[in-house]
Amino acid sequence: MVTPNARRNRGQVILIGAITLAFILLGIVVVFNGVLYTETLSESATSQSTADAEVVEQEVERNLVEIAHRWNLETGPETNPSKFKSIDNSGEFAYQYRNTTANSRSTIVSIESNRKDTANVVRNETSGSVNISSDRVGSFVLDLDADSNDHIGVKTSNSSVTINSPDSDSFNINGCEINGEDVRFDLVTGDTNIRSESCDEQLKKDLSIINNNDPEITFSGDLVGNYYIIAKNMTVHSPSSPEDWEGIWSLEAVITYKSSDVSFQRDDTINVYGDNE
Amino acid sequence: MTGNTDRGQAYTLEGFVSAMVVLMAVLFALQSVVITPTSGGLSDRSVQAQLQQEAQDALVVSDQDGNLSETIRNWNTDDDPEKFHKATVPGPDGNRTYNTTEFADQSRLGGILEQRFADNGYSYNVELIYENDGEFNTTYLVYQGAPSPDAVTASYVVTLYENNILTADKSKQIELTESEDHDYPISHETDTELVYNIVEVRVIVW
Repeated sequence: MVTPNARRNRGQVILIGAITLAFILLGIVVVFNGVLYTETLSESATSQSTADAEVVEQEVERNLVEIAHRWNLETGPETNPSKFKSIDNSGEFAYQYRNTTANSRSTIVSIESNRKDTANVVRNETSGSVNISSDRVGSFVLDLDADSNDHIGVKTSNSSVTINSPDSDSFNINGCEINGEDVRFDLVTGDTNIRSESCDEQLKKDLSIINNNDPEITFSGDLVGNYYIIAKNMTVHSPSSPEDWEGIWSLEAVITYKSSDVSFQRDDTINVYGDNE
Repeated sequence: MTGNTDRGQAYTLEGFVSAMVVLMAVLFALQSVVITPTSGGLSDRSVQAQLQQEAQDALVVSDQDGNLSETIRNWNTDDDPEKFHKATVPGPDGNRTYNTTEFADQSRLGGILEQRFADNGYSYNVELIYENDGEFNTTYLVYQGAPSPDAVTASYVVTLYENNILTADKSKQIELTESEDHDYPISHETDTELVYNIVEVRVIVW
């Protein structure tokens, strides 16, 4: 016989059971959400660190290439070629880059680089007719002083360009004007150290006449200045004997990146003048 | 007996219904609290990560042909108060800074930032951080106020070389000589004959 009192008790038990069940389910939901939230936070931080590491790697490679190229052009025959303080293991660039990145991010970037392959670098005045033959050209730079009605013409097997100087403070290439007394023209990349204000893209196209594979380059004219050639196995025929020294064709670099989330070390060969050997 | 069985079923149903009522009530209450990944973080963090990636990409793209370096060197050497070329807005460090439109006219980075961020209602600062006598100093290219706490940051390191030329004044090299006092805030920091200084370009978007 079930009494009314027993029925009430049963009802209370059921209600308490139901509430307990409800809280258990809620607990599960809360814990699950907490796990998802933590995972999301953790994943986003890690993936961002990976992206940062990629940017650092790109920055370092780009800077090393630029420094090596500039070192090639500016070191000269008198400098001991084995010592390039800017980029070697104890170099100022590596030291200062590490300082700068550590100032803004919780990372340490270590750069170790050494010359792997040498390039022939030649520098001389742009007088007379010059003929250059090589296995591969890395860079061909003309550093010219503007002068009234002077010009210089450069030819390869497929292409040519003439740089004119109508007056003492400007140059003109196929109608594009560059205002400057002393301008550097890179005929491989088409870059100049002073940009044309009117036709930058056209100028770059007109100037980049030399491919890495061009075996023969000739030039002649009366514009005063210097030319720099960085190439592999090069022979230069010119009226005066040029200065020459060993430059950097490729670097062996070890880039180490360490942060709280990501740590990697990359041991790589960096070609200063493109991906070709 | 039949009456007792019916009553038992009723109790069971009553239990389930009360459980559902309580559960729904608590769930409803919890919706008002930030606790789920969707409302609490994922969407926000996704947007932030997206903004940061876009700012980082803008820096990488603008450095591709040296334009970022030219932007940093776009400095007037004469008595013009607009030291950064055609910058008109007074900045926090005394130098004039660009507004977003001026910066877009002067640099590729400015163009990308204006198109993506300024035109969509975001604010941003562009800072140059460089070492000077062992300490890090900051100069502003764009300053739109103090960033909010949820701002995102992207940075890119640019190397300046001794024979770089000031973009606004083509006759002057960045390397200071005694006869050419150009007030350029970034000083020569390294001992090498090539590298002038290393500058971090930092974009803060909020």
